[in-house]
Amino acid sequence: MPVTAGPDAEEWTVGTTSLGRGGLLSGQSFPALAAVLGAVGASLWKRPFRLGSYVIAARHADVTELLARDLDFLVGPVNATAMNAVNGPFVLGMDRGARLAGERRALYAALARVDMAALGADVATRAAARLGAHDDAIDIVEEYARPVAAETAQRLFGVRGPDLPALMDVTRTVFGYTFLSTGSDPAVAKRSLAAGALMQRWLAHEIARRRADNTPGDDMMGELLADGTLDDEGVRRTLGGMLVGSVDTTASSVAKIVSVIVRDPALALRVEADAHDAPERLYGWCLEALRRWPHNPIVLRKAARDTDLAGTRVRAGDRVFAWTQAAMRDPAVFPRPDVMTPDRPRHAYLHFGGGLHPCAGRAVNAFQIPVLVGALAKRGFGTLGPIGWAGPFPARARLTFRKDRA
Amino acid sequence: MTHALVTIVAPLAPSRVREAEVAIDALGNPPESELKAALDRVGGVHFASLHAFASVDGARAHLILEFSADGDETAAVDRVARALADGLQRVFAFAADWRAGDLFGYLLAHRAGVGVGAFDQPGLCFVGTPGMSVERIKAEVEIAAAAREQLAGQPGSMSALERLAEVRRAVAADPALRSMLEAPQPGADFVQPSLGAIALPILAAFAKIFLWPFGVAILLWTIGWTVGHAPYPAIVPLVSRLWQGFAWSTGIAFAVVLLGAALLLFRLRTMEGSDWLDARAPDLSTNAQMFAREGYGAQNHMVSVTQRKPGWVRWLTSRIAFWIIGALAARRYPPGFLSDIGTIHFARWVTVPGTPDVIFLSNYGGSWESYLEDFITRAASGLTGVWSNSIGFPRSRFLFFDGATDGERFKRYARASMVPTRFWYSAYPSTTTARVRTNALIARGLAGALTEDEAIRWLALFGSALRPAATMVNSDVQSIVFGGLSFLRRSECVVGDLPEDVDLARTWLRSVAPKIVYNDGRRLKDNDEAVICLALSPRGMARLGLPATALATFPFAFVEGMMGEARARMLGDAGNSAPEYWRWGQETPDAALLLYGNTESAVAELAAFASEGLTGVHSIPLKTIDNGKREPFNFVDGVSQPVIRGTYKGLRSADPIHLVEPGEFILGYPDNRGNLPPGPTLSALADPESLLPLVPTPTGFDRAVVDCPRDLGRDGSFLVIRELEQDVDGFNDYCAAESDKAQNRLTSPYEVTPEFIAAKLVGRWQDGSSLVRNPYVSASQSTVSAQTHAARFAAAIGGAPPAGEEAANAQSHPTARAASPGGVPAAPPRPRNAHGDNDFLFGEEDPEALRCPYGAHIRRANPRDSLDPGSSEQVGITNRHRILRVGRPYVPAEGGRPGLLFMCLNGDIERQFEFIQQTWLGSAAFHGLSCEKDPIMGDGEKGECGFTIPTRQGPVVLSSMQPFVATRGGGYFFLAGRRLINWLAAERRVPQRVQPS
Repeated sequence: MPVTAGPDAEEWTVGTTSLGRGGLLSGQSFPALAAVLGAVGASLWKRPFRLGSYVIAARHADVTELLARDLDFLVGPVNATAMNAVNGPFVLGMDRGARLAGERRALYAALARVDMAALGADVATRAAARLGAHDDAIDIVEEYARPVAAETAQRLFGVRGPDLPALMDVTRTVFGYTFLSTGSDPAVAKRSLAAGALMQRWLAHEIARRRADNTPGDDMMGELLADGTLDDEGVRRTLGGMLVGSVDTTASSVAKIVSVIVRDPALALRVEADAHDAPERLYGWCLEALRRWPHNPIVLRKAARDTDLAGTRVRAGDRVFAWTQAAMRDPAVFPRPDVMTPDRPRHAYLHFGGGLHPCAGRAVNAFQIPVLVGALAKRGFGTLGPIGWAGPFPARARLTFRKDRA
Repeated sequence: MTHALVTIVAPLAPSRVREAEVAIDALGNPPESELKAALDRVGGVHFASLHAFASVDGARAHLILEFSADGDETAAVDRVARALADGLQRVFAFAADWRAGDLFGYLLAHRAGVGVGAFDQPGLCFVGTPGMSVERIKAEVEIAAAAREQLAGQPGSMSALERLAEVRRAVAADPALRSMLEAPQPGADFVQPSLGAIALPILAAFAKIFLWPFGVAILLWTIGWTVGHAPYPAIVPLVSRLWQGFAWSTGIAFAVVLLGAALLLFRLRTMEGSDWLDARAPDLSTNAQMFAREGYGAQNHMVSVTQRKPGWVRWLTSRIAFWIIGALAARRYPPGFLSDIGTIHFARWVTVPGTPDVIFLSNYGGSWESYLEDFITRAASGLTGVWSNSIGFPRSRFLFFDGATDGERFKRYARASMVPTRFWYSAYPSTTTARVRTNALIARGLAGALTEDEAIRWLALFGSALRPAATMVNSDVQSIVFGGLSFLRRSECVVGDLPEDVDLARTWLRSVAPKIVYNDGRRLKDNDEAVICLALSPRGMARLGLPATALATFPFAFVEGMMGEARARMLGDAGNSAPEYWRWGQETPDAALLLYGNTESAVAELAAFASEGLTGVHSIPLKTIDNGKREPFNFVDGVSQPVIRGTYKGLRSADPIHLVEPGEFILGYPDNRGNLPPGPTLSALADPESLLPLVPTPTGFDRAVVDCPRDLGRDGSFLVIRELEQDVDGFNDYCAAESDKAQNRLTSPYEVTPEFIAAKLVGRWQDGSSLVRNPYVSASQSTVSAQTHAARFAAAIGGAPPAGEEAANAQSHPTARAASPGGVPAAPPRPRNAHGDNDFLFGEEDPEALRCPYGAHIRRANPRDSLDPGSSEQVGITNRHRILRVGRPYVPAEGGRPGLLFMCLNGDIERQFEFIQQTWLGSAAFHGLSCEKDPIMGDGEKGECGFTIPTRQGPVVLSSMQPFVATRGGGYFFLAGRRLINWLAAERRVPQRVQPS
């Protein structure tokens, strides 16, 4: 079944619950309110909460501890099944072991060899080009952040796909199923497996083509092929895993950041001013805005054995939540958590997770997201129309540029 | 993973003990091979033993089957019953209540539990390898052996991660072991809780177990009181009644408990004073039988039979003792440890139901003698607490004290209480608990180590140990840090710039890297080839690909460089020393290469080789070291140096005045105050191979450290280089002129000569001997000791004390009295000579500066205790500002002035080199002086007041002077550790910082 772009692509939903589809959980306010309560509760309770077989860490130190103890709190039981089905094993679904050691090294070594400076310049050019075509307003997801991120993925991972919309559609489908699926809707699973198969085929074709031409290329695919640690199948799995999480995460983050910023005209003016005069502060603004409305408010792990997490008893098999959104309101690390300031220490943020499995794309999004937001800021934040949702992802969000911008 | 510690007790007629013993003997200890194979086959059984013996009073006899197994009790009994069916049937057939046919049912029914409650049989079970199954222990023995074998065959020159990767490849090729590479078993480092933290939960648990009858009484009383006095329906009086009843009953219960405790203690102490002590020697033939069954593997088994003393006191105290030990083992000691004892696999105390017979069964590692010694020296109170409740035990005090500490009597008692173990099985007889733990770490690290630091830690599991934080990794520290390499007499300093292209820069570094020397350089003495110590400037590291974000984490002084305007002011680089007169260093060169060798040709050859690829090369040939080590003003140089603890010198000489911690000079180690200073770091993303050291150093394999920042400073040091040109004629002329002027100012015993003036300026005589110890004449000129010298003068002027009152007292040796800042005992007095004349204290020996002026160069550069005479704290404060000098005089250009290529190492340029330069040498107000600066060091603007020589007859003031020393070049460099050098030299690209546009 070919997966193509079109209106049909937006009909995909996550799981069986409607909460995620533009509903309560997808909004900005409810999770933010919950995080406020969670952070206050955690600072009073002074240890992770336990609710039946769920353990929830909401203090910054507890979240860090939870993510660091990767032998006690496993990621495999959470991620592996879905990931293996659509892509094949990827480091984000593997727990510590010799296989992870080898594949993780290969992934990061390849990523480190890619010329990120060139990629950064490229992102800026493409973002400017897409903005240039719009005088008054732009859909910051569908016409802007999503295609830019998808093009970045094409350049970084070497996968083309038949066209950009197809690539975007496939990654959204697979990502939602792998990481965000809350139910087991057979229709969703079927569609995701098909999308996964398609993505695998595209990657495999490109790898085979480069092998045949003996031109590995200077992108991450090329570096992985040149590295030689992984066989072609391993290269495909690794790039597939990276690709899946690279497009909609970026687009969602941009939509959420802009949404937070435009709510407060004074804030919007400050960000615009920095976009012109102090672009190095934009990343700080993005991290702060995401703290209000994170791309992902929680990270899930499963306890491997009976143990103790910062004073709370954990039993083998418990589902353990790192509530990163609440932890980023922990006054011990984020003093005056309600205040937005771009100058907080960068390593305190938990947007990229931590421990053994921090987001592998953090080096890219450390420049891509600020570049995307900064280019919008230079046009002037006007008003943002209602966000349209595709499953858990913001799919449409129309930003009108401010007319009186300097 | 839980364990079942099953003890099965069956009644035996005392008359049949002998027959039963024979039947058990037939099973063997060590066991018959078929039986061992059978137990191995059913699996999951760690240890098993079988015994028949009479009680101490001979009134009863018991058959005991003890085993320790994985999983739950019923399944374990089933496995043992199946494996040992015939043997057990033959033995249990002697039991008084044996019913043939259903061995499994019989065994299940005869299990003896342990507990501490009122209705339990007092006892305690202890597991030394919690969470470890037989299968896992055996598999980890295999994997550890396989790893060891692989490592034995590996060549040199591999990183720890490469070694680990090779072992992984070999293990992956072995189908039996392959699965061990995935899913390592967790096991966290144990952090011992304080007693305060566990006191409350322990007290609560105690009350729950031992004081519950009082709780019941309080409840009943409260209900009774309320009901009896509460005819009112209203709520308020009801609550009041409830409260009254509760308060009364609790108060009374509290009083009863206190009274009971007092009574218990009183009775206990009375009994402890009068209890009978069993002084019998162990029976010789029983001893022989026991010895015949011990020492076959790495483990042994013991079984001891005693009888609890009669009466309610011992009924209670035995339970309390078991409970306390159990509570502490669960909460206070590391998993698997009983107090400090970690050699026990499985042990238990069991009371035979319905009897006072107490049986102790233990499967332990090592010999019986070492096991009992552990109890005597490490866990005497716990053991006494339990065993002093048995008849005949050595005298105890307050249940827990004395007793087992009386070692020989205790061992006699223990042996006498033992019976031979006639059948005993161990699933892994040659594996101790320590080995089990190490193997677990080996397996965990093999599967899960991801970084070089973890791999290094993993390698240490094979016959070594984790490196203590303060122990230097000498092999990663460049040799110059261990001393000036003066045994390599030829040397040259080459500075130059690296290619701008990162790949070319790295290619250059790769070419010179094999010549860079690490570790204590003494082994280089007979080297034919020359060697390099390489230091880099910030730009040099940037050109080698170190990201700007990482450079920004280096200290400001280093990043800014010696050329910053504020730094020039701080360092006195003005006037004739101003940078416009420098020969090099107006912009800090990318690299400074210090080349050393035994022959001129070797050094020249290496200089030519290493300069290839560099631009802007400037070479500073250094003078050949002769025996005198004199600098251009003809002073012996380098007498006073700090000594780093842990180096070869630090091990030989431990003079507390000069001994400093590695962290004072080498980054990544604790400093004098015990702190680990923060160092420069690099993002994990830039080190995907995980070869650089981590911050902090990992201690196990149970936490994700792979994303930690990388420690760029580790094993490195900051190198300050300054080319100092010396005006020898100017210095000599000044000394001669001032000597003439002061001739009449100072009378005997002074002999005012140019040398004397020079010595007063420097603080040492030209031969290196100190003014503090040799106030009138240098040590080498003096044929008699300074003391007799002074006495001779005193006699010559008619018995009056010397006018200077500065006679050095050879007996007053301050270091013998001064405690070291680190609390190390002071070194004993050592024989003095000019070169070793460095163990003096200014403040203690010369508080008025009558011998060595406050302004003298060496008193400024290292005031020791001068600012607070006699204070070891002050020596400690001064030692925060030590530098390790490694410079040499340079060879002057044709017609040029001679001088010194001053080089020194620092952990912190601002706190060490610059502090000395600015606060001590360059300060006109040092030590209460006014308007005079250091007379020697390169300072373009000398003080206006010349130099003050204090004497009893008032100050002798020397004229103000022109600078004798001028700065002619210099820079701040980083002498990187081996791991950073290797990282910089590696062939790869690193991410560039991208500023959002």
